Formats: sequence, structure tokens, C-alpha cells
Amino acid sequence: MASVRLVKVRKIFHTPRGEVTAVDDVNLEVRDGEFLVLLGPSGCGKTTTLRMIAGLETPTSGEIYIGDRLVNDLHPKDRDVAMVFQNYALYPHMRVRDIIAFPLKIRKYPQEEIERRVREVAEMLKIEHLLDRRPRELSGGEQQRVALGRAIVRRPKVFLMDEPLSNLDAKLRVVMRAELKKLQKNLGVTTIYVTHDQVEAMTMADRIAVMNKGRIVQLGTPKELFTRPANTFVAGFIGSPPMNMIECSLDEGKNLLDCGALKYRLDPDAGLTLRSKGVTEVILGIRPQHVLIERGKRPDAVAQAPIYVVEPMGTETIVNFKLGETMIRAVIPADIDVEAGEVWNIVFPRDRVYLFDKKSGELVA
Amino acid sequence: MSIDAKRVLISSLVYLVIALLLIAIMLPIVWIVVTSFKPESVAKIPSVWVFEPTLDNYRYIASIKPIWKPLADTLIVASSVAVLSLAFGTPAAYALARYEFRGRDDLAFWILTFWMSPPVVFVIPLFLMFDRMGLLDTYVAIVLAHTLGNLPFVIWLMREYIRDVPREVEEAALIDGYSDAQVFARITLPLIKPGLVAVGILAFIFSWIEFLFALVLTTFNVRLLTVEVSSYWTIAGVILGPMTAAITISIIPATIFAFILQKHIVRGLTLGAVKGE
Repeated sequence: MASVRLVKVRKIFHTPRGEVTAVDDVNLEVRDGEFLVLLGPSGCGKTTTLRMIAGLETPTSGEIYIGDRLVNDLHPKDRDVAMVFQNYALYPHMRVRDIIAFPLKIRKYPQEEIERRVREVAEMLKIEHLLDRRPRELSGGEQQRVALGRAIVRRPKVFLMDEPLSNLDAKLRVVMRAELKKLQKNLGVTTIYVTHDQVEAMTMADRIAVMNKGRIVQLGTPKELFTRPANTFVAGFIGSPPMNMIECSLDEGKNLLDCGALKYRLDPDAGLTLRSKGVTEVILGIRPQHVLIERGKRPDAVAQAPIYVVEPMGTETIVNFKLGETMIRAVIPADIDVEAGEVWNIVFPRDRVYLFDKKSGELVA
Repeated sequence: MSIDAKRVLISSLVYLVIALLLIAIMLPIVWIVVTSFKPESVAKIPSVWVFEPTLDNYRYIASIKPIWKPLADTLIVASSVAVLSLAFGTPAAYALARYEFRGRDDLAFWILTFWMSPPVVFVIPLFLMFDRMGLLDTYVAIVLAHTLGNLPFVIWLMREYIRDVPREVEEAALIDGYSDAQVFARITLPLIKPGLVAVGILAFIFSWIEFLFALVLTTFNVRLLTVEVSSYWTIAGVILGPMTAAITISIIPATIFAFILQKHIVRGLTLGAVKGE
């Protein structure tokens, strides 16, 4: 077991259309035994980061440590990591038994030890009955388990997982999510897990590193990312439905945010902070779950508007308002009856509102 | 006209074209095989189709002007060419398929241009080179020449087979503990075995039927079938009987390999390696 440390790691790809910086000065420390998720949209550099840790790509600059050892120039086989690929990458010409035993055979473990470990792993993953089959005779979920088996059989220092659940159907994905998390906790192996699915990240991770355009834009626990997003990118990426983002400008005299069709009265502290930082153009963010709506008039309402669309979800209902060009979503309990066209008052509770600098996207207050 | 009638008309037209093509291709071969069984008196042009079949021509090429040496030589040369083409072509194809380097696609295309240019362009320089090296009329010369001629298509075909192997399977093996060379030898090669067989047989056949290089680079020490067959074309005329018998014999191995090839062109080994394929 080991920690993983990336120091100013950068990766530039040379393509026919010029240089592309896939990973840009990434600093990251993954603690021993931690489940860290690299989360971001496709092309954000998360997979390249993972592949550099695995040794499948060479960093253009920077240092990668596994434990205390600098591994930049180490061949993948000497790094003592195991990887689970998105498409599983099972050896098509081997039987499941041999695929799982493969990393041990190469390392010349004694035969009994190999057999014992393969049995153990197969039991743990409930694939004992599949040991004599070939990959093409397995379902997606079974292939996934075999790929996991090959990774854990060696008890490596680090697990690297590249979207391992994304090829499974939705139902199986939820099951495997829980199993994978439990497995990781039981084995206690440092795990770096790449995904673009924020639900996967939130449910499985000890900490999440959100990446965008080759950089880590925020690193924190799922709760931190949800309650205190550092910028509009993280705010918009985490949470479902996504956070409402409304462009506003500061009306300094009145301590008021003018957001087109709606007006939001700042609390004095927030106003002060904005002024002290010289921010006049603001993006106001509020999660749909925190937007309150009321039939009756309220003095603190930011706007009064007709309902545009109602989306019943079963346990809750998503209500959409259209205010000029901006859409505002509110999530309300399913037992409240609402209908499109009805006029409601919209309230933004002050302690739930995030204010971002429009220019930099950073959280201000 | 109804749609059904139209369909029948179209398919009968297609069959007619196929039939004509087959006749055009098969007729010379049938003529050769039939002629090889004709007695000397009728083995000439214009052809007669009614005669008493004889094995005289085969006796001729078995003992009077034996075909065994050319047959053995061609077998040696074509087999060596098949093995060498794969031995040089597969690693080159692997590099072109798997490694990123500047000008990779240009290099691949440049290699292909050799396949596009007429062989006669290369025959004079090769003759001069082998002459200087004292290699004329040796196995080395003709095997090298044929291997060089085969490499462009061997590299291109093998590159496609290698690309069909998912990169992740190789990467998984790298992480699991193989060196790059081991991955190539123990993961990639077994997975492209159908490709190796198919391309190897093609290389064999190309060498087997090649005439120009054989004519220029070999004489007596090494004697290939195509040259041997052409030797029946003498100043006194074409000796059709033994010539067609020799051709008939020389067609057999290539035909057998072509049948094997058909079976191996079916790819199936990489099925199931990667989900979604």
C-alpha cells in the first residue's frame, strides 16, 4: 500500500493540428488507502493523468511518486499498480482462470499459491463457476468481475480504474458501485478512479478531484464539493439537476443584484465582500433543491412567475420557471400539486445562495 | 414490370455476368489441363477436343526433362519468402500500428508506393547489385528479391490485423508484468495468428507465381517453376504437351494453399476481448 503524489505534472500531445496540453501542471496527493476519484467531462485530462500514473504515458514534465519512489522512468510492470480498463481488456485467448492468474504467473509465484489466490478472488467476486470460460462467453457484468479479479489478485500498491462501470447497464452499475466501494474498503488499497459520472464520484469517493481543461479545479470530499463549490464549473458539474446560474450585476447604491427579470437583495456582509473585491458582475448560483416556491405573496421573493414546465420524478417534482432568457429550476416534494401556467413566488434563501465572480468564475461569497 | 419480375431479371443478369467471368478465367486452365493429357500428335494449336488421353507428357517431365529440381527449388524459395516476409514485415507493421512518431503515416504510404510501382523498375538495379555481390543464381538473391517485393503488402495487411487487437489488451499485459517484447510475442502474436497464416500464404503464392525476377536473377543453380515452364518455348517452337503438364503440376500447391487461405481469412479470435465489438 502506498500514497501517490503528482508534482507539477504536465502532458503535451503532439498532433497534426499542433500541440495539445492534455494535463497542465497537476499537483495531487492521494493518501494511503484512499479512494480518490478524478472527475470531469471527456477531454479534461483525467484519463491521461491515470495513464501517466500507470506508466502507459510519459509525462512531458513533472514528477510522479508511488510511495516514496519516483516512478517517472519506471516501466509499468515495475510500478506495482493494477488497472481496470473501461472495456475490461481481458486476454481473449485465455480462460478466466489463466487471466486472473496471469499477473502471478509472470511474477513466478509458486503454483499452490497461485491456485489458492485465484480461488480466494473468485470466491470474493462470486465467479467460481466461470473459471473455465473464455471472455467471449461472459456477459458484460461477468467480464467486469474478471477484470477486477485480475487487478486484486496481486494485491498491488495502487488500483487504477478507468471508467470501469460505464459499459454496464444502469441497474448493474448501481450494484457494482456499492460492491466496488466495499471491496476497496476491505482491501484498503489506494485507489484512483476515473469517471465522468458525478453520481459515481459522489457515492464512492473519499475525495474527489474535479478536472477541467487539464487542471484540477477543486479537490475535496464529496460533501465539500457539494456545499462549497470553488467555482462555477464545479458548481455546475456536481448536483442533479444542475445548479441554477443567473447572471447579475451589482447595483451598489441599493445593495441589490439586478438579474434581469429578477432582483435579489444581498445581505450586507455579502455586499461588502463583493465591493471589497471589486466584483460588479456576478453569477448567482442556487441549487434547485434550495429554491423555495410559495403561492402566497412574500416580501423577500426574488420574482413572481408562471410555471413553464412541470417534470414529475416520482418522489419529487422539478418545476421550471422561465424568467426572460433565464430558466430557473426548483425541486419540490411530489405531494405538492403544481400545474404549468400557475403563478408562484420564488424565494432564494440567503444562506443557500452562492455568488461567483463572472470574470474568473471563482466563488466570492 | 412488377417488382418481382424486375428482381428476377436483375439476379439473372448478375449470374450471367458471373458465369461469363468464370468461363473467361477457367477456360485457359481447363485447356491447359486437358492439353497436358494429349498425345504429341494433337497437342498443338488449333486444339482438338476428341483424343485418346495419355500420360506421356507427365512421363516426359518426370524423367526426360525432370521437373523435380524446379519443384523443390520453388518450394524452398516460396517457403523461405513466406517466413522472411512475416519475420521482417510483422515487426515493421507493429511499429507502424502502435508507436507514435513523426512522419509515421508518410512512411507507411511510402512503403505502399513500392507495391504500386512496376516490378520491372527494380529488376535491373537488383540484377546489378546481386551481380556485384556474386549472388546471381543463388537462393539468397531470389529469396531476398521476392521478400522485398512482398514486404509492402505484408506490412500493410499485418498492420490492419494488429490494429484489430485492442490496445488495452496489450496495456493490461504491460501493467500485469510483461515487457514490451513479451507483450508482442505472447499477447499480440497469438491474437493475430489468423492474419499471420493468411498473409504468409499470400506471400508464398506471390513468390510461387513470380516470373520476372526469377528469369533475371536465376539460371541453372536455382531453377524456379515459372522459368522452367517458359523453357518449353524453344527456337523450334512451343512444346505444348510437356509445358502444360508442368503448368498443371505447378498449379496444384498454390491451389491447395488458396483453399486453406479462404478458411483463415475469417477473423474471430479477438471477438470478446472488448465489450461493444
